[in-house]
Amino acid sequence: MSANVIQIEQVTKYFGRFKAVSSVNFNVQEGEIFGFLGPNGAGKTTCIKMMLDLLRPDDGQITIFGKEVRKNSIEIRNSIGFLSGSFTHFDNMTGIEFLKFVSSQRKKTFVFPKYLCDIFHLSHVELNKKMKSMSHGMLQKIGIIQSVFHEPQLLILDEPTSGLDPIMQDAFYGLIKELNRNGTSIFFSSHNLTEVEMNCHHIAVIRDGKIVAFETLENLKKQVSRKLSFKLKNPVTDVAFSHAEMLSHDGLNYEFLVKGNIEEMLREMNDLPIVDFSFPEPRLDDIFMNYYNSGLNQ
Amino acid sequence: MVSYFKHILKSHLGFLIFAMIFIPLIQFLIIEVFTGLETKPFIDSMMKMLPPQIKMMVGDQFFSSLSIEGAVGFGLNHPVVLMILIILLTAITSKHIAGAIENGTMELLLALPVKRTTIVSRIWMIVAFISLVLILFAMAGLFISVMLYDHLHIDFIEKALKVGLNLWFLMMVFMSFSLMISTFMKESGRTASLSSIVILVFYFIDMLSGLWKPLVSFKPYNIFHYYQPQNLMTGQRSLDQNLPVLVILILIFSLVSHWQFQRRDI
Repeated sequence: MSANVIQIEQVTKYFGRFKAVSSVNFNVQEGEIFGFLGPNGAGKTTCIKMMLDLLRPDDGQITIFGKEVRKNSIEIRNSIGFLSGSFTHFDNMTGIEFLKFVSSQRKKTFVFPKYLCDIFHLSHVELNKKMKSMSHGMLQKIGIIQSVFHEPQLLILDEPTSGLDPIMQDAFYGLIKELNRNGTSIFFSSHNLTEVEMNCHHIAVIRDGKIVAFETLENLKKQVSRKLSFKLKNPVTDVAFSHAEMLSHDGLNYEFLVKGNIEEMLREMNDLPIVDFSFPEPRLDDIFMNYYNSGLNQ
Repeated sequence: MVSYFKHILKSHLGFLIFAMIFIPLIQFLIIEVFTGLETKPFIDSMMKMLPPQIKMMVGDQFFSSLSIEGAVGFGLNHPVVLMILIILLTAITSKHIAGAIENGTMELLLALPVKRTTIVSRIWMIVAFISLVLILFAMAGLFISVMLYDHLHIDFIEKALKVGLNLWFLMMVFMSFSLMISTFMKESGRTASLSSIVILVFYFIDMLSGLWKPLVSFKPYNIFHYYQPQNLMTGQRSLDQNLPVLVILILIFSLVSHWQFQRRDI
């Protein structure tokens, strides 16, 4: 079994009297891409800031690489890359000056990251522009480069694709998968369900400062109620199942939410004159909405 | 350190260049005016007409000893010079601590392997260096002017350098104070305003204490009491009376800044 790269135990954080994060527990294993899901204001960024020692938890403990964050902050940050969705920059620097600045803060010799610039189609001319004159997308690309060009052991990304066009998003997903193959563990916070579903192995869902789900994507999918739709050949009176709830009924078309064992339901459906049938795999969107709408696991 | 220094210099380059030209120029002009013109008879007659309170407010000692020493003291205590230095120092400290927290660059910086104490120390050192350079520029303007007047001798240089040193320590107190306020706050504008207002209040109380006798007993509690360039130039006060208090304040404000920045949320 892989070691934990990040371990968060019973972490609580107050802002004044407001409890932003409440007894949060989860862990990220070495070599995995971990998705951290939640709507705006759920506590994702607060958790990330606590991992980076920017915020200090009021209770609980955070360890990264097996070391307590508060006491080993510099050593840990040396092996981490971080990118915030609202990537901030120094107005008066050019892109290349900024990358040199970041290198100098890491006490590393600056080597022009040609490979990364190629991935994001960044030329020397663009990198020599003042950052204050760059678009949000361009800044985000530089933000990605600064977070990975020192080859970190752990990459912490807080909504990293905001501002990137779909082509650049794909380039970014390719990059993080490649980094992951080369051994970088990735912690990925997002409210974009599709990108989490596409990239992540393990998922934690946070709502109102509490972890409401912490599972592999496969297990999460198993837990969720699935929609089943079918069309009948001719009208039938009283279409009902013991482990499903009817969502809609339009003429011969029916839609049910399956809450229990699907085998039981299939047996009950045997007697029906079904001409068309659909039982799609649950998508992360469904899982997510399930947690947020029906208050599952509360 | 060098790249961070460059970044801070670039952020304030315009105002810095202005200060580097204006401060020595005003020193040069003050000496020129008071040495080149026959101002003594004119100012003497003016002084006779002024009420005593106003005489005290504008610098009794300076006018009563209309000398080149008095002019140097006046130049290095000129409200505009002090204002420029204070604005610059409070702007740098507030922008690079509270302002950086406000706009998120502090988050970026602290996600890198940089110690919090390093950030505070860097800013402290950079601002101390900038204020030293500006004061040296002021001294240069002053010395050039005095040299033209042919009054530059060792005793004078020593006294003027003492005033410069005293001014530098005073500015370090203001910078450390502004740094301390910055570490408690999250907005650059409010931090700079608060620091400047507190300093201005002390400045006006110091001025008023010359007019209103009940305030005289509070003078030792005012920071400006520990910077009296006219008295230093005329030998009525020694640097030893000023520096210990200023050093203690610098230490207190700097230590509180480090302590607070170390423990605060970003």
